[in-house]
Amino acid sequence: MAPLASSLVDWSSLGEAVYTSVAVGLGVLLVAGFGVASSLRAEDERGAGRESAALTFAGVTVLCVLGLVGAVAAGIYLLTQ
Amino acid sequence: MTGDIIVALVVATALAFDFTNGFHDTANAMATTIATGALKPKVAVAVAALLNFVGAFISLKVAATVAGGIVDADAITPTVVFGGLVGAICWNLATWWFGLPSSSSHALIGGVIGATLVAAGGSAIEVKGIVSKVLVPAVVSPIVAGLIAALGVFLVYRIIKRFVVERAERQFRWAQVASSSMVALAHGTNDAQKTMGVISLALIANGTIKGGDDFDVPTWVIISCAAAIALGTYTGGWRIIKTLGTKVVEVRPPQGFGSEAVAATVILASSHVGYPLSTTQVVSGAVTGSGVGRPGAAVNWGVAGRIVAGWLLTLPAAAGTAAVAYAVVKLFGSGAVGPIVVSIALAIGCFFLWRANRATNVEPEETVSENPTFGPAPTPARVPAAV
Repeated sequence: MAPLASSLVDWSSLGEAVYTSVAVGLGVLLVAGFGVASSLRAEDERGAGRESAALTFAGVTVLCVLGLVGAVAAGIYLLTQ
Repeated sequence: MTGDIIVALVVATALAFDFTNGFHDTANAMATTIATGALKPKVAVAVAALLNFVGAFISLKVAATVAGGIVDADAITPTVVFGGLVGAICWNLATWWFGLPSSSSHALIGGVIGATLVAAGGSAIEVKGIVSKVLVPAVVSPIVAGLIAALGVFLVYRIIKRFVVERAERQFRWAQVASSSMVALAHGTNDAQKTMGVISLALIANGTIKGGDDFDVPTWVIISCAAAIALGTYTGGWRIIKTLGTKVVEVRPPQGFGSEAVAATVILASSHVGYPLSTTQVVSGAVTGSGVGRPGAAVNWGVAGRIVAGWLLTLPAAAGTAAVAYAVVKLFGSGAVGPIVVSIALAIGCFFLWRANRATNVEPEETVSENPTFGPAPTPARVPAAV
C-alpha cells in the first residue's frame, strides 16, 4: 500500500507546498494582527499624551504594513513566473 | 469547412464556459468582503472583474494540452473538448443554481474524462494522473487551508483581545480588500488560461494555427478569454456569494482577511511547486476554518457538508453529462450537425434557466451579512435563497 501511495503522490512537493503555506500563511496573519494591535496602541498612547510611545507603536505599524505590501508584491511576482 | 464550424463551436462553447467560470467563482474572492460590508456588492464584483481581466494577461504560459496527464493526449479531439465543455458548463450552472461553490477546473477535467471515455474507451484514462493531480490535491488543499486559517484567525483574535473587538475588527477593512484582490488576480491568471489552452488546442488541431515550441496564443484568444471571465465575474454569482459569505459562518473582517490571505498563500505556494489547486475548494476550506478559529463563531456544518457533497459529485456528474453530450454528437456522425444540435439544446436550457432565475433571483443586497461591520445593515431578504 505504501509503495503504491508513493508512486501516485509526489510527497516531497506536497510537503513543500504544505509547510510553505503554513509558514507564509500564518506569518501574514500574525504580521497583520500585530500591525492592527500596534496601530490601536498608537492611537491610545497619543490620546493619553504619550507621544514617544505613540511614535514607537506607529513605527511598528508601518513595518507591519511594509511587510504585508512585500507579501502582495511577492505574490504578484510568483503569478508572473 | 466542417472542421472550421466545429472549431467555431468549440471556441464559442469555451468562451461560454469561461463566462460561467467567472460568475461561478466571483464568490471565491469577494464573498467575505461583501459579507462584512468592506466593499459594496456591485463595487466588489467590479473590482474582481477588473482584476480577473488583468490577471489573464499576467502570464501566458498556456498548457499545451487539455487535462494533460489525466487522459491520453492522442484521444483529445475538438469534438471531445466540445463534449467536455458542455459537461462542465452544465455542472457549473447546476451548482450555481443550488448556490454551491464547486470547482470549475474539476468540472472541466471531469467533462474531458467523460467525453474521452466514450470516444476512446477506458484505456485512454490515466488513473494515476487523476489521483495525483486531481484527487489528492482536492482532499489535502481545503483541509490544509482550513487548519491554517483556523489557527491564524485564533492567533489574530488573541493578539487583538485587549482592545474592544469591534474597534479592532474595523482596522482589517483594507487588508481584507487587498487579500480578496489577490485571490481575484490569481483566479484570472489561472482560470482564463485554461480556456485559452482549450481554444488554442482546437485551433492547432484544425490547422488554423501552428503548434510546437514557437507556439503563440493569438491575441484575439487572450483578449476574448480575459473579457469572458471578467464579464462573468461582473455578472456576479450572487447565489454562491450568499452561501459562502453568509451561510457557512458569520464572517467578521479578521476572518475575511485571514481566509483570503491563507487561500492566496496556499494557491501560490502550491502552484510554485507544481500542484495546481481549485481556488474554490481552498477558499471554502479557509472560510470554514476561519469560523472554527474565531472565538464564539458557529460554523454551519450542514451547509459545509452540502458543499463537500457537491465537490464529490463534480467529477462524475460533469463526466456523465459530457459522455451523454459526446454520444449525442456522434449520433449525427462526424460532421458539424451533432455539435450544432447540442449547442442549440444547451442554449435553450440556458434560456429556461435564466427565466427561472428571474423568479427566484438572489439580489446583491442579500449577500451582505445581517450585521455587517462596515456600512448600514441591508434590507431584509426578498426571497429565500438557495441552499
